[in-house]
Amino acid sequence: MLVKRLAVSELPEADLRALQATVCDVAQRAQPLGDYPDLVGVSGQLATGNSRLSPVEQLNIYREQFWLRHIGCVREDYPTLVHLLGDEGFEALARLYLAAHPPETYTLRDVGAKLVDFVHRTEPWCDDRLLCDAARIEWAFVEAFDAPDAPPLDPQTITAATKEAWVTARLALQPAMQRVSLSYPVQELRAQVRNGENPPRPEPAPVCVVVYRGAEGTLQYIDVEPDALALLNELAAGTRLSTACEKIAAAQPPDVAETIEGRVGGWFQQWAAFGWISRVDFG
Amino acid sequence: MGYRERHHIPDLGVGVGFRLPHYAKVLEEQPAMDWFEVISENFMVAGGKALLNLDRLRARYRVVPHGVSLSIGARMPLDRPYLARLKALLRRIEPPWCSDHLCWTGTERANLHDLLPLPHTREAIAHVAARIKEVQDFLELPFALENVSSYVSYTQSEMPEWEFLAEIVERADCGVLFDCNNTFVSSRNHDFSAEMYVDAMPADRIVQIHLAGHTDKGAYLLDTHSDHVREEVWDLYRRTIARSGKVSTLVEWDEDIPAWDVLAAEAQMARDAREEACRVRAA
Repeated sequence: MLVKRLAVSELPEADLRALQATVCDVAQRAQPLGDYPDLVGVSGQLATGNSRLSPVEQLNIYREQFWLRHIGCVREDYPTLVHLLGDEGFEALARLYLAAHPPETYTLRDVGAKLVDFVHRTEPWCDDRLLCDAARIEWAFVEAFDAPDAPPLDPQTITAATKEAWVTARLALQPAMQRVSLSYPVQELRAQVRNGENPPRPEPAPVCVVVYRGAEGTLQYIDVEPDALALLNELAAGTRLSTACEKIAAAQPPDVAETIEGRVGGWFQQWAAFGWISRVDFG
Repeated sequence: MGYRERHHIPDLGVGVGFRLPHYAKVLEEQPAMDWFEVISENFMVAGGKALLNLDRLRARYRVVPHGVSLSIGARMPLDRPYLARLKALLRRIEPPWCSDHLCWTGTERANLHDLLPLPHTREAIAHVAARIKEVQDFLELPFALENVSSYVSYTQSEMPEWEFLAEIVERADCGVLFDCNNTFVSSRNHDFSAEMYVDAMPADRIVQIHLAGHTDKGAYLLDTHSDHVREEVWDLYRRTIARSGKVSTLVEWDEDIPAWDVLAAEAQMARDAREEACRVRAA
């Protein structure tokens, strides 16, 4: 537990800060508060209890709600992990995660923000690449859902540009766009789970996926070529289009590198049609 | 001149919460409803579908935001980025008032995302009243403070809850969002008279009323918003309206959300109860 625990002697009679620190601590305890002998004294000093509930039992209501609320919140954001781990397995993961990363911000939206990293570095879950991928794709959808809006690309910008202007062009991508490289096709697994199906564990199959917002803010996803994903990542990092293309080409065998320029033209048309490019800055 | 009159607080009639299962019904069919309340934090986002839905709702109905994360009673600095986002939302909605709870939600170390009660102390009165003034000045909008359901009674408390709330809103010069269900739940949990609570409220400061259902857990009542309004709560509502006159009323239903027609019928019951209470008041 990361929260400092206050001993009875540390709790002043009328100190709001101390009271809140203590309640915050006990509300995050993993076990029912009756299981902690040290809390009997603290609870009695803090709460009055009544004819039906002891001070410990009164405070335990908030502890129960803390876990119910936040496990439910993470469960809602990561249904594919729930599917893969089962209810009990997922709850065990969620409890350890929440103990390691107590909610910090005002919004429940952020509660599961560190779960991807947690799954990737915590045994036994980190040993299962499918779980890691499932966590990544789920959070990509959360991030895409409420990212800033961006105006669609003005076609005039492109038609008016000279060939020379493209040498220094930088592309601003839709902020909602999420780019993920995966070892398993978890984007399809996620769709099946969200659709109420009970899909089997998929076989490994590397795939690159872009999650983005379409018309009316609807979340969509599409598989892309690895080179296209690499180029999108370069552009998202602010690299000039020409430099990004050179970098991608340099990483290819010569015969493949020669085709990059032609493929970029096709990608560019597709990306513009999907609304992935919101602006082109020349110069 | 009373608070409502000074701040030109309108009576919007009886509304309901704007909740996900009813989005399609409300936005596409635009059923009759006096007004909608939205949870502020769900729309304090950078972009995406939530804001599109909000704009569509706002185009047809009066909308009032209601927050759950201001944490006005927390013994730590106000969350400035939170307030900035809230203010941006208020500019988008242009409501006649906004509201949040008389509670705290966490400390610097963790946010419990719960509406935790404060000890009813003079220290807490001074702390909360000063912060409400700061919030109102920043938001440039009338602010209403809601009484919460509580499950713990603190040994530090120096006065009953109704005196605590009344003193804070008087000192802060803000409105009251009077939750009849919360009053009933807390009265049962802490063995006090709900009627006495209603009678102690500064009637001219009540800018909004909440109605909701709760769950009987045996040793205590839990504020779940998961059922019809109980008869005892209707009685408190009529008693409140008889003192305050017609005040904007909101039926909350957040768990086990029923079909639209059931919710709309509950709102109609509130309209009928309002009329009945006003007839009693006039007589």
